Amino acid sequence: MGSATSFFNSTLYRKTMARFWPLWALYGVVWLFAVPLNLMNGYFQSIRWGWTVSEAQEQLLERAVELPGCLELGLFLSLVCGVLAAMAVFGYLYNNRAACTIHALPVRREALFWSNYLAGLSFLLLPQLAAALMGAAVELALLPSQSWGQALSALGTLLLVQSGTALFFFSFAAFCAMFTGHLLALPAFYGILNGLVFTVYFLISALMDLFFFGYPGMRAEGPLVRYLTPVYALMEACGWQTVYSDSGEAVFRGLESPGTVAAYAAAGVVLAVLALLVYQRRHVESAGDVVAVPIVRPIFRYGVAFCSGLCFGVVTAAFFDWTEALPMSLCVILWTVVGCFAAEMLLRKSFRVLRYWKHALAAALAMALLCASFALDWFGIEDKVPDAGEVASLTVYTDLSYPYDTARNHTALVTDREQIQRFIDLHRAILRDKDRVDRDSYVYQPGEEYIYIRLDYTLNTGATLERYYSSVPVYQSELDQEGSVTWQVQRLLQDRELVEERYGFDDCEESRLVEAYLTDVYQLRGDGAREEQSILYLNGAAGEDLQGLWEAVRADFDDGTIGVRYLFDDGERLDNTYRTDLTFTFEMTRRNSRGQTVTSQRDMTITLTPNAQRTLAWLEEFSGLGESYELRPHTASDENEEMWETVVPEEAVEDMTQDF
Amino acid sequence: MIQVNNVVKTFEGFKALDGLSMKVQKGSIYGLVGPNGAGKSTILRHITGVYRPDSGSVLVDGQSVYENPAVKAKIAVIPDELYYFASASTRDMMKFYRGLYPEFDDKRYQALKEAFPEVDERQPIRRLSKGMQKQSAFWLALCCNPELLVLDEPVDGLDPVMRRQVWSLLMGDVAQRGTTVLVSSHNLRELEDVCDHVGILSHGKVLLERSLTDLQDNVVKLQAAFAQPEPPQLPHDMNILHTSQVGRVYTYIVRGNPAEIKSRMAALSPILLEVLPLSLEEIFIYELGGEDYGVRDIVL
Repeated sequence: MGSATSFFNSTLYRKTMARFWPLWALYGVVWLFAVPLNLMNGYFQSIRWGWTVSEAQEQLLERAVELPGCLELGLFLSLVCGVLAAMAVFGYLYNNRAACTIHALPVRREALFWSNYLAGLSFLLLPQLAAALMGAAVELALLPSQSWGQALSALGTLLLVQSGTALFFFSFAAFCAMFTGHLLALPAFYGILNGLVFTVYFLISALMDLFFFGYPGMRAEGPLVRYLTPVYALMEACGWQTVYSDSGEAVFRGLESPGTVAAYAAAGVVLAVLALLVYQRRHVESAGDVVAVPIVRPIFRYGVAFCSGLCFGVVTAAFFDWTEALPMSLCVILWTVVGCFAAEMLLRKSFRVLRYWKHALAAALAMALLCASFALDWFGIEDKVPDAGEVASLTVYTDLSYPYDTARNHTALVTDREQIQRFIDLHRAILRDKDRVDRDSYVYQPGEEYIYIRLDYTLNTGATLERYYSSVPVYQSELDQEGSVTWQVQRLLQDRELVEERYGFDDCEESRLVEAYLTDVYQLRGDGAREEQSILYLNGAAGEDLQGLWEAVRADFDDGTIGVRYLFDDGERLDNTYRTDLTFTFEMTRRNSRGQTVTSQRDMTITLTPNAQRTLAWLEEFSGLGESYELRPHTASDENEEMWETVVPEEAVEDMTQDF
Repeated sequence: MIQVNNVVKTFEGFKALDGLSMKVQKGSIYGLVGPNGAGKSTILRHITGVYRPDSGSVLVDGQSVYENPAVKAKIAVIPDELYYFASASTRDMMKFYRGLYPEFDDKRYQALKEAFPEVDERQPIRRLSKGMQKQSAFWLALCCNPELLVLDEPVDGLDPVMRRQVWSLLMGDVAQRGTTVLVSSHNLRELEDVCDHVGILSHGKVLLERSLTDLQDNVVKLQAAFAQPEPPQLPHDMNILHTSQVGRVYTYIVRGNPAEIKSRMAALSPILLEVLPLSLEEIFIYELGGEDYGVRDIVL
């Protein structure tokens, strides 16, 4: 006998539960191992190892409060089991016989939907609840009463969060289930929609990367991508954080973002209601169709065409290294057409789809329009440079200047308006020089160098603008040509504040100096002969003396006799620097996320110069410079050698660009 | 019992039902016949509330059947292609239907066990033969005590004894409980034995709908032979559906009042004139002959 309410039918619910018992039983077994058996194992293993009962209880408590740590595994389970449950309970929609039989029953669609939906949700929630209850029984039985609150609270969190993610993913799968009439299309749609925003964002950025000079490469990030890619957002939100006090005691344990989980759970409820609304309008005869709802068919057709054009078009253009707008566009348009016909085949369930050429033509025209807008930069993306007044901060990564010490590659956060303006000037100069950059990149000519620069602007509005220019040539002949790229870069290199930041003097001083050594020196033997030595530790000096060396370096830096940056690796640079570098090692201590004290080290390397009087004096006084070793100057052969080293091989460029 | 008014149903541009109207009296056995693709199964699915019409209405007992559980609870259906849950036995399905159909009769289920002795109620239905699966479907459908029984190719797969058994049970229900039976079949000889009303479908429409007696009274099969070698010209207003000749004997299928047609033919002074009864199958073939249905050449 049917239930009195038309929104639920107990017979259907029970039948669905009974039919698919292996699914929820298996899911229950996983949680049985994850919760009660895991807790019991922690306790009894400690007892087996000969620990006392109170020690075993401590071990059990530790395990109990860290139980929500398995939420990341739980998220994966929700993701997979959510769609499996939906495939099971709504499977009748995908078979014509089943669909006709079930819809001939004296049950309204609301009751069919909710009975099956609740059964599917029960597949996930009831085993979790059972496992949590068993886990609670274990905790109550084995833990002292004063620990119950802590342990049960963690268990409750685990249950609630897991239920929230299960609710979302199952509802999302149920929502997808209403749009298709094919069983195998359901997991495909579900998987695609779960990562659709991420993928489309990534593909569009890949296409823009191909078209736009300075576009910073393929990526998918930002709040829109995060929140419309549920796995991404929930993976972050389900992190189980423990905050420790200075004494190493856990003072707080909690979820990274319970609000996000709650929001997704609420979204799950909304999706369930939307799924019902779609179901009410769905035609039974759509069983077997890839797309069951007529209004979604054009979206599917053009969506597949668009994604296919982007994905395969970008891959093909990259494979053949087509960088010109026309071949790239043709490639993307061709794959769009192919994608459109493929989608048509799925929709029509036939290979004879050429007669629907008008759809393919429309998709091709739309994609051609997009490519044209990119190629002709109708939106001014390529030439967009903010005014200094619009910029709140600028993160700069640069790979420029010699010698090869710490200051060569550097990432810095720039907030000073004047410095921001200088980088903006450089940015504009690079854009003005765009054609020459395209032409001269990777082709070394004497008197040229190449710089790499990435500019990440954060605007006052909170928006960001990112640009990356690799292998931008600078020319010795243009050092004095005001406004040129070379002149702008040289100006930046002469800014001692920027250079100081590149070496990171201030950061180093917040750490403890533990060691210093020289690299590439001549060891002086008793017979007066010189021998190359790759590393020389300044072991003889005490910590205080090393501090003296550090202060000497700083003083020389302030005088401008060390740490001078050269744009070109030419005679001037070689004459004014040694091959010998001085490296300081600093030690930093911090607490990790588990409250443990962690020690890490960082190095700061600075190339020595003949003019660094204080530094050299310290080395003579405390480390035997001139007596037991000598600093190694550059020689004529070095000059040739280094000249060749400055030719950046293409592989190296690729390696560098891959870092982004 | 059933009132179908101008129902239109289109599948991706193809009009499966094109303004179909039909009426089934309560307590009648209504045979739905028609060529393949005429829309028989489609209209049955509308009558059982599975499909939603694009336009028009389908009423059972004066109420719309679509999304109306109260009406659907009165209807039992045996589709052409049976569906049952994987691994479910007849007994399992009985429990399922018992929970859904308020009139489900447990006692009848036990009683009908004797009518279908070959069906093991505990054996999964998928392991039963096609005929036994059909018997299982009849068993369950009859236990729902439906007021309307909708059958699509119902006895397909049943042996002659079981066919007779099943029809006997159905006729019993019609007689005792006033059950209305709507049956679609290509087995016209069998329908002729059980149906009291017939509807012929073609191209998504009901071509004609009458009681079987009326139908048989409206088409006449005449055999005539004439003294002269060439037959005389028949009256132009006589609705001749088909003419054939064997030797000097001519066979005419004529639509109209049998007595009137016979008297008009007699006026042509044939040396032989005989009126023969038409089977449902012949009516079906000749009626559809005028609907561009290409059986004429095949049959003749």
